[in-house]
Amino acid sequence: MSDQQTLPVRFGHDFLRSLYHMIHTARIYRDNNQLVGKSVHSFQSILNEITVAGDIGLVLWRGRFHIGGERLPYRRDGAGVVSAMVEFFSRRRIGGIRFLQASRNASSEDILLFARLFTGALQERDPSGWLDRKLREVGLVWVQVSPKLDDDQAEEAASHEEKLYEKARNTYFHAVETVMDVARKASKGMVGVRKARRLAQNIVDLIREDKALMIGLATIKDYDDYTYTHSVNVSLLATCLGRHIGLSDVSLEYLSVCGLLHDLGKIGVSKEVLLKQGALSESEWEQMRAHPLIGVRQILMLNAPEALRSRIILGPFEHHLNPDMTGYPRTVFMDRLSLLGKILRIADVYEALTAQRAYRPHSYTPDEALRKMWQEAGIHFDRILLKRFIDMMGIFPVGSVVELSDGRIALVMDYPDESERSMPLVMCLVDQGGGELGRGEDIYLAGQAMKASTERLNIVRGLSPEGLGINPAQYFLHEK
Amino acid sequence: MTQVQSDARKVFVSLLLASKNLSLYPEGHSLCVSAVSRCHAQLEEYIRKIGEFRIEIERNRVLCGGHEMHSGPLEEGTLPFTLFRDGIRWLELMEGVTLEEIQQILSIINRYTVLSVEPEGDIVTAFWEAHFPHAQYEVADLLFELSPEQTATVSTFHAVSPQAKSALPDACAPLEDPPIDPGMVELTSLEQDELTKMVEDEEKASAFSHLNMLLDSLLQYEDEGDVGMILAVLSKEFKGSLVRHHYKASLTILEGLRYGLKPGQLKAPGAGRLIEEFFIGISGADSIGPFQEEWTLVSMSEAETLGRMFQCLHPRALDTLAPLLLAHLPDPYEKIFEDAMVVLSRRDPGPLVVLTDHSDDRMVARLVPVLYRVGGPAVVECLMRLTRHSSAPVRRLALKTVFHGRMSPPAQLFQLIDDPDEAVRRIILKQLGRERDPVAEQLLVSYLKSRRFDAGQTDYMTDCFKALGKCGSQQCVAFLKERLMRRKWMPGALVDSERRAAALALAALKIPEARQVIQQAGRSLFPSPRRAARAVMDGSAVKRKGGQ
Repeated sequence: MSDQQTLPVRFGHDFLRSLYHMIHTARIYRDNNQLVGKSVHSFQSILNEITVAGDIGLVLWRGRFHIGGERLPYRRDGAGVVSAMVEFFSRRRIGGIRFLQASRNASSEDILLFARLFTGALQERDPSGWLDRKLREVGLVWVQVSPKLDDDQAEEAASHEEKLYEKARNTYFHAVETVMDVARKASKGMVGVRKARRLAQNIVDLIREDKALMIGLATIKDYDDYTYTHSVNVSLLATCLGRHIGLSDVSLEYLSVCGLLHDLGKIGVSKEVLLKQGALSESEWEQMRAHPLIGVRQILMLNAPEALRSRIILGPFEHHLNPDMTGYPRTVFMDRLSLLGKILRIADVYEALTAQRAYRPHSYTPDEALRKMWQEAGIHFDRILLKRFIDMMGIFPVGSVVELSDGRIALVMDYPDESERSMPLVMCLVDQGGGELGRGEDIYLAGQAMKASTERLNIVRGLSPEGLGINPAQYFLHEK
Repeated sequence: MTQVQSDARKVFVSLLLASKNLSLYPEGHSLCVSAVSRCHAQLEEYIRKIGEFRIEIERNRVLCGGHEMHSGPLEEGTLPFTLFRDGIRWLELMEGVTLEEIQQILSIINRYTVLSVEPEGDIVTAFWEAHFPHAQYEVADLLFELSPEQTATVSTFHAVSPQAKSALPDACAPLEDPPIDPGMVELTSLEQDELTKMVEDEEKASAFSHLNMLLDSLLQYEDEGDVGMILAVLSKEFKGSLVRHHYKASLTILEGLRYGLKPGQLKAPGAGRLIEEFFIGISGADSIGPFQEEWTLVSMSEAETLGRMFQCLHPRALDTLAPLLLAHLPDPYEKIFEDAMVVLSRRDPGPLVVLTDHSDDRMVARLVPVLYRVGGPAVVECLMRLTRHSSAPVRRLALKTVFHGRMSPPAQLFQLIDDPDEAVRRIILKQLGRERDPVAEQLLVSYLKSRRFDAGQTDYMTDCFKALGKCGSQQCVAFLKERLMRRKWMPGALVDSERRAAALALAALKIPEARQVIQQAGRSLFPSPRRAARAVMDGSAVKRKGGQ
């Protein structure tokens, strides 16, 4: 799809803010007040902008606003207004407002009347029903209200978000299957890369749409088929980092394919060695060290265009090489790593550290993994890229399970503000009985400026999700 | 049919027509250009009047705005068929769509109308990579068939191993290091610049940046089959690099493989043999021959790269490289290519020698200096053979080269004294007379004794005698005396010439015995020997005088 700014990104916050100001000033001042006139005018202008192509709906679902079917992205500077409007809608049990294109012809007086009626609905027993009747009575036919959505309607209203989850989920599963398929068939020369490319394109699109979701998805681990989920996770993390540093979509596609195929050589390593507990013998290490080379062979056997192959083969070869070219495989001709190889190395190690492995049952929490990697910046990882990786992931990476200062357990969902990397948006996990942890309230830790310092929450430490029986990806996909 | 339907149909038909033309004619063809322009104009008109133009493609029909534009099975090779086959559910062209976008969209569809066996991509990938600002589409993921596992949830993954579960109490033990300070991971401006450069470099990454990796892999592989596979890829890459004039890439491949042939570099048994075979394979005329002409048009730096690359080839490449020497290239270029040929021939002079047998005279003549620089017994033998070549210039060159390189004593080539080419004969005589040589002396005496010169060969005869004078000794004095003093019943100009030549030879001997004979002849009662001797004596006197 073409890369155009979506409506919520372009106008969402401005629209919500202007609605909020209009309602707010109308509640305080009389009709002839200059501030009221200004706020109505401001709302009217932006309403004209967003209805230019047709009717527009503002829907509240699961605590998030959606405009034109798309979720309003989080913005720190808009958090206060969003929070106030969520409360405003919820108290009136209103699920959505639809502004018809005819609203472009509405007078300032009519718009102000709408604002006053909207505010006044709070006094009624059935605010949304009352408001709906009242709007028709006074002839404001360009606006329609709907009651707070029940589950079925909510599904429909948030179809875009659901589609996104579905696409993300399907992409993930297909990616795992594709990696397995390639691994099975590559040595027989019977497999191409068309599927892998399509999946890579989906991954790039999904990351563009919701990077946090994709990082969250990368917390999926599968002990039984670790190599495959690991490969997909590396692909997701590497592509996210590639996007974070500004690679083009085509390069991201290649990077994503690199991630999917980087451990293809592991099929040449015996299961006994891969799953062995304890230290490997020298000959077993030899086998392990051969996997990048085996991977190169497998990739060469893929039915792929030469130009593509030349771009996706370097990373898998390089992903165990250090910036000074130590590591493995041994190199004579290469004198430096490619950018894709450096990115893969970071994503690969991070993913591996956060997974439980037979040889190392202690998995690191995401923040621990970053700390451990940071100690080796410049030695095992390109320092600049590792900095960007940590910046992207946050100090407590998206998908981390953390303990808050009030003792609650929460899941790091996002770092909505580009400049804030240690105080994420978290979702509290609440005990639902039987050890099940369900979705609790969202708290943006960096957005607690209004609270007294004693009431402000922060993260105390990261926790192992396995220890708590949590699969963070389920929360990102709303499976929980 | 409404006006809207009619307008939509017009645009659709113009799209089909433009697509058809693109499939029939080259892209720059006037028919294509005008069809695409017409299509764009109609599209713009439609969008202005009605809005986005969107076609929905179904198995047996194409819709636009809910109206059928086409019904019935889609015909293979047509635009709707190709779009449907590749899973494009709908395609929408929006306000602002440019002529170039239309052209590009149609070109992509046209390119992938025929599915290649080895997929070089597909429409969806090409559309995705093109990032059209005014075109949208939706793709059905035909490649991914749904199965029960695929619709599973995340919980189907087994996230914890039994062993790991038992170790969970320890798993939560936190590291003791403090959390990372976000300030520490901020980039300095220098780092930001470096990162920008890294990204830029990656974006313009050469299609050959993986070559060193392939070479490294080749050294590491322990299986002959793996080495063979890498070599097959490198062979393709090598040819590709030549096609695209990326001579540095060609050089990287060949130098890398030459390095691999050094002792102890390869792990796979038989890898060295495979590499040698690779060199033989890529050095054949069928492999590098097609590029011969292009190599006469390269820049100086490219020529230098090529020169180094040629030096890595197998000597059989000479068949292709040799004609470069006749391409009238500037001297520095010729020198580079000649140097390469010398290096190759030193590895194995066989192909160069064979080339001299089967090439035209011009080429053989041009190869003689190369032969000289290569040296070695095979080359000497070849040069000696060339002294008897049918072409006089080749013989001359070969002879000069042989003598210049002191590859053979002149006496060994004495038979060329009767060469039909005067220049060849002179070269021989000059060489014979270069130093005192009893063998040459004896050969010349025999020759002069038996040879019958005619009146037109007096100069040549004189040269023969002079050569004898220069290479001879006391041994030939008697013969020369006889030729100077002998009495003939019917003396004539030829005999006089012979006397003079013998006198000159005696003078050239520069020994007392020879001088005595000249003096004796100078006092002869017969005018003819006396004249000959006096002429030599006068000449010597004049010379001495002049010398004083």
